[in-house]
Amino acid sequence: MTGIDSHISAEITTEKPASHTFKLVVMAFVLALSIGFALITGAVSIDIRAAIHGELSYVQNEVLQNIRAPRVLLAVLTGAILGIAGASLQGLFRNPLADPGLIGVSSGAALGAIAMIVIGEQINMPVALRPYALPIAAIFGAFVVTSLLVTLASHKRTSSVMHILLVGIAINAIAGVGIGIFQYLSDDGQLRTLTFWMMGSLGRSTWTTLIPTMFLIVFSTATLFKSSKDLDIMQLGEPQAQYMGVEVNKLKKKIILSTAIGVGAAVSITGLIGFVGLVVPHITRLLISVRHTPLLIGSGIVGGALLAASDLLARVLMTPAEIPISIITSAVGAPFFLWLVMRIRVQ
Amino acid sequence: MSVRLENITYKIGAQPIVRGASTLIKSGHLTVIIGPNGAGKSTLVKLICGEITPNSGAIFLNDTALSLLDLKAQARIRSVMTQSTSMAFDFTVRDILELSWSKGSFSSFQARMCGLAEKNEVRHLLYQNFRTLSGGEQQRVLFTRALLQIDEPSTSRDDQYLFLDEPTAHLDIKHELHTLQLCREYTCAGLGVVAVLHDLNLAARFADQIILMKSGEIVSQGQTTDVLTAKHLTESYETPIDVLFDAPKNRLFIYT
Repeated sequence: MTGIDSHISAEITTEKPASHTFKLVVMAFVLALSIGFALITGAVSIDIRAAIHGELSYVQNEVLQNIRAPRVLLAVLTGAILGIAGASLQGLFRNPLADPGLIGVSSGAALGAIAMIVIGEQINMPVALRPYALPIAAIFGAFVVTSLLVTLASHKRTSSVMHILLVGIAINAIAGVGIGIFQYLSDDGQLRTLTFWMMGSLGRSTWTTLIPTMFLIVFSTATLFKSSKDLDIMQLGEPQAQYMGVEVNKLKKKIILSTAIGVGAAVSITGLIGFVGLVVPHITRLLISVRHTPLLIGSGIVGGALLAASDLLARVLMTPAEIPISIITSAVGAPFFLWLVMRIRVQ
Repeated sequence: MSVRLENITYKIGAQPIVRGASTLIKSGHLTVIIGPNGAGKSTLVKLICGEITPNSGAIFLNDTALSLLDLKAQARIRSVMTQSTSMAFDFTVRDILELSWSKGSFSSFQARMCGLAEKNEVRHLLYQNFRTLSGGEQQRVLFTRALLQIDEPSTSRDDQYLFLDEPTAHLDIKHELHTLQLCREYTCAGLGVVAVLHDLNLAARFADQIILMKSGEIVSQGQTTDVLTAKHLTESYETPIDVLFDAPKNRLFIYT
């Protein structure tokens, strides 16, 4: 009996895990390629050989180190956290259409940002704090709105997923009212700043704002990775997950709040970037796996590569002008979303 | 070892769903819960498994109050198979079975997994998308998963339980018998199995102990021959039901 069993298991183990790793390595290679391309391409082009031999001009060096490197790094981090957050939320809600916008991160960040844009000028703040003001306001808004959602949704003893979704819709609508009021109060200049923030751009990346953002993103990614086994079990449904030892309500809070922190940190600098969190997990499921450990790692890699490539497009399509990145991601993501909805309806 | 319920009452609003239920579920026994629709059978299972908390009364899992055990500890003691599961993503059967692995050697888990998959005739489905399976196949997969969650029972270990809510609902007659025969094998090895069943003849054939419920109350419980009487069943199901003793097969035959 044991002989037969071990024979069968040997035949099984050789089949899957290795291929996951292989696919992830291939994806990581694609990511590295897109990072490389993004670093050397742009209004000021940089020769790889010259860069390696340290023969770049002063301008080229400045562009590479202080403009392009932080920008590409921000693109990779933002794409990664949006992908990972999207995958975690879709897993948690067991809904392929879930994305970070659903839990109020985007509307909260937008509300915080617009409040700072409109009333920030009246606040006396030290010059050193100025570059942080908008990001801090955005991340604060994201955190407050999402926490409100978690509190309201867990008011009932057991908060069902449907309940969270409905509370999310209501909260997003309420945040929308706040955004509308500030838009009404803003002058032309402020409105323009806001509009560009809403369309997203990676051009605002500097090392000073990037470093703290990086810490927050790494922190939230680590928390989400630790939950991947629980997210797998959640796929059997909430009661079954509970029967298998998963503290479902704790898991919900943990995932929603760490998503808010990571995504909030990223969008506080970039502004809103649409559809990445929705689309990336689906691509990753098709390419790599539905299991959450490889899925989260893969979503990070795919998201990073996708956003680095999108930003490259945003920069080079109309050089020296720049297309807002959300226009590019939405142009790809929205039709994909439509396809997804049609596919689900057919099933 | 046993699961003990003392005067359990559970209400939704003012409406009692389970009223004053007391019972003793012994390890090494196959306990079958029967009763008409809305009798509170599933609710009773949910109460014992800690999904919902009773308004009054106490539940003891191996002499420890259920409220003192966290979910992880409960999951080590008992495994539950719910009525059905709908998956949002394309998990394969193997993905689902491997969810039951929590600790210990992964390769020995896989050996057990393959053995049980073979027994439940889902071995050939391991790499299929769970969502594309038929209701019966899905149920066999979930049954296999539930078995995998508990350790291999042995006569020296009789502190684990398996709860099955209508495990045979979508099964054909062959797999129906097969599933319950496997449950018997496990009870012989010391596991306590509790199953909610609708088929009274299946209950008569396999149960060691029967709990008959109606309107949230346990109306009768104990040995099969004591509970499954024409009088009890006719009253509970509000339908004339007769019970015969099928001597050649040495079991009860229940018919309308």
